[in-house]
Amino acid sequence: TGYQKPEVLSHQPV
Amino acid sequence: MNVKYVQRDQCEATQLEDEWVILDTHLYTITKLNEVGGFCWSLLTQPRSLDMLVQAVTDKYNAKSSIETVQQDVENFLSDLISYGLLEHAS
Repeated sequence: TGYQKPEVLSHQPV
Repeated sequence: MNVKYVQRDQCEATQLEDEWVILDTHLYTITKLNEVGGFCWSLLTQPRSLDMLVQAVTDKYNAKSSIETVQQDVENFLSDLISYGLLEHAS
Protein backbone atom coordinates (compact mmCIF):
# COMPACT_ATOMS: atom_id res chain seq x y z
CA THR A 1 0.00 0.00 0.00
CA GLY A 2 3.01 2.30 0.27
CA TYR A 3 2.65 2.69 3.99
CA GLN A 4 5.86 2.00 5.80
CA LYS A 5 5.85 2.15 9.55
CA PRO A 6 7.97 4.99 10.94
CA GLU A 7 11.22 3.56 12.23
CA VAL A 8 14.56 4.48 13.70
CA LEU A 9 17.01 2.74 11.35
CA SER A 10 20.08 3.37 13.47
CA HIS A 11 21.24 5.38 16.42
CA GLN A 12 24.87 5.76 17.36
CA PRO A 13 27.26 8.15 19.06
CA VAL A 14 29.48 10.35 16.93
CA MET B 1 -5.12 12.05 23.81
CA ASN B 2 -3.80 15.52 24.60
CA VAL B 3 -0.14 14.73 25.18
CA LYS B 4 1.94 16.60 22.63
CA TYR B 5 5.46 15.95 21.48
CA VAL B 6 8.05 18.31 20.03
CA GLN B 7 11.64 18.17 18.83
CA ARG B 8 14.33 19.13 21.29
CA ASP B 9 16.29 22.24 20.41
CA GLN B 10 19.68 20.64 19.97
CA CYS B 11 18.78 18.61 16.89
CA GLU B 12 19.72 19.28 13.28
CA ALA B 13 18.16 17.10 10.60
CA THR B 14 18.63 16.60 6.90
CA GLN B 15 17.04 14.34 4.34
CA LEU B 16 19.25 12.08 2.24
CA GLU B 17 17.19 10.39 -0.45
CA ASP B 18 14.58 8.37 1.42
CA GLU B 19 16.23 8.54 4.80
CA TRP B 20 16.62 11.26 7.38
CA VAL B 21 19.72 11.90 9.45
CA ILE B 22 19.43 13.69 12.78
CA LEU B 23 22.47 15.10 14.55
CA ASP B 24 22.09 15.76 18.25
CA THR B 25 24.63 18.47 18.99
CA HIS B 26 24.38 18.04 22.75
CA LEU B 27 24.49 14.28 23.08
CA TYR B 28 26.71 13.84 19.98
CA THR B 29 24.59 11.17 18.40
CA ILE B 30 23.49 10.46 14.85
CA THR B 31 20.10 8.90 14.27
CA LYS B 32 18.76 7.68 10.95
CA LEU B 33 15.04 7.48 10.23
CA ASN B 34 13.15 5.96 7.35
CA GLU B 35 11.02 8.14 5.13
CA VAL B 36 7.83 7.95 7.17
CA GLY B 37 9.81 8.51 10.34
CA GLY B 38 11.36 11.58 8.75
CA PHE B 39 7.93 12.83 7.76
CA CYS B 40 6.79 12.52 11.37
CA TRP B 41 9.99 14.22 12.50
CA SER B 42 9.42 17.15 10.16
CA LEU B 43 5.97 17.67 11.67
CA LEU B 44 7.40 17.71 15.17
CA THR B 45 8.99 21.12 14.77
CA GLN B 46 5.67 22.15 16.30
CA PRO B 47 3.98 20.39 19.22
CA ARG B 48 1.87 17.53 17.84
CA SER B 49 -0.33 14.96 19.48
CA LEU B 50 -0.28 11.28 18.61
CA ASP B 51 -3.66 11.62 16.92
CA MET B 52 -2.43 14.49 14.75
CA LEU B 53 0.59 12.49 13.62
CA VAL B 54 -1.45 9.38 12.90
CA GLN B 55 -3.90 11.40 10.82
CA ALA B 56 -1.10 13.08 8.88
CA VAL B 57 0.66 9.78 8.15
CA THR B 58 -2.57 8.10 7.12
CA ASP B 59 -3.44 10.95 4.76
CA LYS B 60 -0.02 11.31 3.19
CA TYR B 61 0.72 7.63 2.65
CA ASN B 62 -2.84 6.52 2.03
CA ALA B 63 -2.28 3.83 4.63
CA LYS B 64 -4.57 0.88 4.22
CA SER B 65 -3.50 -0.53 7.55
CA SER B 66 -6.02 -0.15 10.33
CA ILE B 67 -5.93 3.09 12.26
CA GLU B 68 -5.01 1.09 15.36
CA THR B 69 -1.97 -0.35 13.60
CA VAL B 70 -0.76 3.04 12.43
CA GLN B 71 -1.37 4.47 15.87
CA GLN B 72 0.66 1.70 17.50
CA ASP B 73 3.47 2.18 14.95
CA VAL B 74 3.65 5.93 15.53
CA GLU B 75 3.46 5.52 19.28
CA ASN B 76 6.37 3.08 19.26
CA PHE B 77 8.32 5.45 17.04
CA LEU B 78 7.73 8.38 19.39
CA SER B 79 8.82 6.27 22.34
CA ASP B 80 12.06 5.45 20.55
CA LEU B 81 12.76 9.11 19.83
CA ILE B 82 12.08 10.08 23.43
CA SER B 83 14.39 7.35 24.70
CA TYR B 84 17.14 8.67 22.40
CA GLY B 85 16.67 12.19 23.76
CA LEU B 86 15.45 13.66 20.47
CA LEU B 87 11.87 14.44 21.50
CA GLU B 88 10.26 15.82 24.59
CA HIS B 89 6.75 16.39 25.81
CA ALA B 90 5.57 19.85 24.88
CA SER B 91 4.71 21.98 27.87
